[in-house]
Amino acid sequence: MYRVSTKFMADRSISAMLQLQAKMSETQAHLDSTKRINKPSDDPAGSVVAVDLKSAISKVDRYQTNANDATSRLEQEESILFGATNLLQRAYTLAVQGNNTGSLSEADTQAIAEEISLLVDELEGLANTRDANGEYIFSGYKSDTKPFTRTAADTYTYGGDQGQRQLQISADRAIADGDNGYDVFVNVDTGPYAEVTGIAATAFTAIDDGDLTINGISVGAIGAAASADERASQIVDAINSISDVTGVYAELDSSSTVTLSSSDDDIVVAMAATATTATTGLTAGTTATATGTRNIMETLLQLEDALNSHEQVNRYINDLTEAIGHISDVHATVGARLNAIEEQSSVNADIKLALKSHLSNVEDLDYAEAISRLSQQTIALQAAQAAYVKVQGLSLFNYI
Amino acid sequence: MSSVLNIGVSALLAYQRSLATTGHNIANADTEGYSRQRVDMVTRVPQERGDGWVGSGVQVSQITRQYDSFLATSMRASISTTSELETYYDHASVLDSLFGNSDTGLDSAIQKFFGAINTIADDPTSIAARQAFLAEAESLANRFHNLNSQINSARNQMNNELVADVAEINSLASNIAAMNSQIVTAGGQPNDLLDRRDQLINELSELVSVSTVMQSDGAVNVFIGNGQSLVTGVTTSTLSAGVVDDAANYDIVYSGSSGASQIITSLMTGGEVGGLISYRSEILNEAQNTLGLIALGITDELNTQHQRGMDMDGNLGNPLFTAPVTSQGVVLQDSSATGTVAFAYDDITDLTSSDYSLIYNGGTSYTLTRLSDGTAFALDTATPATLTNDGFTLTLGGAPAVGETTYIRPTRAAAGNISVAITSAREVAAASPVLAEAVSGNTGTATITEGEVTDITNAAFTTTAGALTPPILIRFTSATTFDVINASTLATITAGVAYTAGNDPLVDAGLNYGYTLQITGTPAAGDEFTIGYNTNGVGDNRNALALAQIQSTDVLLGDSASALGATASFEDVYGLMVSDVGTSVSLAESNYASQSALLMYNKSALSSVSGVNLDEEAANLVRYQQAYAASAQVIAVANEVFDTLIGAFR
Repeated sequence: MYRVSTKFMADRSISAMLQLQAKMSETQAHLDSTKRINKPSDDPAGSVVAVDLKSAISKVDRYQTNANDATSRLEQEESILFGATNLLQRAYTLAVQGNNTGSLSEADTQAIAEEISLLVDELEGLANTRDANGEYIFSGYKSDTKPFTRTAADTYTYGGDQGQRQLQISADRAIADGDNGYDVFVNVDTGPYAEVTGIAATAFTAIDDGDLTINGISVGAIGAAASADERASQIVDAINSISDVTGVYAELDSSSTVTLSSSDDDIVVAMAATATTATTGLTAGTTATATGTRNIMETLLQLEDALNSHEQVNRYINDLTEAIGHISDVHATVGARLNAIEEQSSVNADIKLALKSHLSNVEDLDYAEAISRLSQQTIALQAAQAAYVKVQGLSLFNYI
Repeated sequence: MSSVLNIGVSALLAYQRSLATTGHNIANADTEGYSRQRVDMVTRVPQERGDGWVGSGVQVSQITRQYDSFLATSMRASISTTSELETYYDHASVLDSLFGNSDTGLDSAIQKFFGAINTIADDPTSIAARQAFLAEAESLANRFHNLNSQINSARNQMNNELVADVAEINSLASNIAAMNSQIVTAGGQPNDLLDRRDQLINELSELVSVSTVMQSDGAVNVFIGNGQSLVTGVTTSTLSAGVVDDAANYDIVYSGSSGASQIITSLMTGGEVGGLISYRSEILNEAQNTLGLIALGITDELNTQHQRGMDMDGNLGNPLFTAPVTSQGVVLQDSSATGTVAFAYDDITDLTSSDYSLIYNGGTSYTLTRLSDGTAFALDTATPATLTNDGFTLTLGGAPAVGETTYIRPTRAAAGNISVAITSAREVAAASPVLAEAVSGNTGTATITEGEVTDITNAAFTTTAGALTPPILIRFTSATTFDVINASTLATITAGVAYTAGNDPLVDAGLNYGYTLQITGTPAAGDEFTIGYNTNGVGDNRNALALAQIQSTDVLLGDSASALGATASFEDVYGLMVSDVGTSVSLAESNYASQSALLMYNKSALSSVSGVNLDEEAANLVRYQQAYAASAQVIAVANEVFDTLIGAFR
């Protein structure tokens, strides 16, 4: 027969009530924090997963901040590039207008040059733009150094460097948050251009039609001249009369020497019989066109200079076309980067949502389960209390 | 006639004794450790008459306590185990919540620290971002200090508890010895004294696991550890808790009656003392070592990368955190040791969170043992010798005695010593000191990468502050060959190097300046690239990006013996530790629950034999009262019969 000691019965009831209260308090703590895991021992494996997930979420948040920063900087750059494109298009229009040296007076082209000079200042201003933090956006890494400074010789020095800052927008994707001034304004291709400078003629006899050809086209007959100066202007006029066909323009370099230029085809000078170096000041031969790179602002300054001198500006029209194309290319890469960021942002948002829902599965409390557990524990505690009182009330001593 | 009277009197006396014993049981119904007593009665010796044997009443043979020594022993074992698990759980759950809470744990501080680096990468010229980063670095160091000091104060508290527990063990031991003496003197079955002694032994087993052996004279001998006798008859041995080798961790020393003393810390199992010792070796040490490992990793990795950078004033980066001092790799030696062991860090990546022991085997032979898994590494070489293993180097010297043991704790103190070394926001090295650029006017399509520092101690960086020595000009003499030229003197360093797109031109030229870069694309003859110091490069964030990248890189827990390299990031290592602590706590919790149930069962089994049931005693009271009354009636009847006889002669 199993005996029960009175003391043990009381002890056991009390210990059972204490245990139930401890469990209730635990359940209550979970309900208060709304978390299934309040401390690692609640679910050691789950708590490690939760730590990893929280770290991953904070990283995604960080990538998104980077993406937002990069977006705002690229949008600022985009608006500057938009302004620069408009400005260069205006310069192009003016250059085409001013190229008409035949019908425009020197005063007319100088007026156009005046407007070009304003555009140069404006473009310089755009290229030296600072962002909200006071950093030059086209200086590369030297963001405290003003990138473009005009020298006394009407050239521009680039004070920045070729650095391009990258921001991390996902674990394995970094994107440039801007472009340096070298890539945008300095390292810009120029159009094809060929130039030949002659010497002063020493013989002034007439030149027959067909003896002097430029790019295979005869310049026509040239009459006798009295001086090197006269001969030079005769040659200029003759060559310019067929410019429409040859694409080669002649200009007086000094009063007695001629400069041929072409921004289209090579320059092929051929001479025969009456046309010699002595009578024309030119040398027979082919000069090929070449391309190079030049700062856009310097191109505009040179254009201004040419217009002021009432010279034809075909080559700068080509250079401006190149420059507009170049800025558009940069603009396109900025747009592409913005698209990439936008696409990455939505991926980041998806990843974050997935991580958060995983985290919630891991550490959030199942309310229904917790509340029903609490009510079960409450009932159990009430039962234990009632039982204790009942059992303690029973004693044989009550009857003797 | 007198026999009836005698019988009545004997019964009266016996039931009086029974009633007294029942009263004693009722009085002690609530006394801890009390075993109920029962009066055993036997018939008196009968007398022989001619017509047979006549009974002569009853007598009390003995008063016995209801006790089962088997149940008592298993309950005692249960008490030890339960108390050990309870102590372990109570202490470990403090660390559990400390590490797991995002306000006090390390993970949130690490995340904020790297978040602040990223903010600098976003905006390297912002002083505010740099200041915020320094503040986060400080708070990361503080977090390490806080966790470390929590562990240290847990150690101190533990030491105090050990001292208190040992004092209680000694006092219980002398009480048991005193009881032994009383019991031996009393002889027989002094029930209440036996109960009190059993209760003392139960209290002792709450502190530490004990085993007992009964002696024929009634004394009991008590043993602890692996057979150290605590009480022998009436003599006791004493324990003491205090500093032996290690000031931070008290040891328990046993002083036997013969006077010889012995360190028995690791032999203590069960009870509060066992719980404290296993908590210290399984959780506290491991947690503090792991924290130290992370602190060392952060110091080492971030310092290395930060020094590869360039600060806002164009200077090379300084260490971000103060370098770990080698004395951190605490080397504990017996004060009488004659050998010397000097400690130095080798490769932080290969460090483990384990402690080590180094034993001198004589001659030129040492054995280094990794205590976490018992792996032994033999070293056999002439002294003084160095031993590089698991990321640290030991330099051995002196004239050690054979068997001399040295304990090495490579990471224990590191978390308490980490501190931020730079103070000015401008000193944060967000930029990289190297910048390679194309020279304006290049006609080819080749491009050069900006350059990445690999070795900041290269003479290229160290010769002249704020400049590369030499600055480099790479000039293509054709589309397939290039010259490497000193950009300042224009002297050719290496001429006619064959160009391979995508290669490092300096490596192709057989040069090493402590940085790498690549040229890709098709160069044209005459194209030039310069490599120079990144002067004024305040907007550069390359080094900040590299610093930020460390967060996701595996930099710890490598194995020097395997080609795998590092296997865990800072957060991984921390997560593992949190999970280890959590698992231990959760295991202790569930073991405690099952052991409590077992203890409850053992108590119930023992109390079923020994416990007082008041209803039973009430019934006995009624029973003995009735028997007493009946016995009195027997005396009355004897009296009446005697009166009747006297009356017949009147």
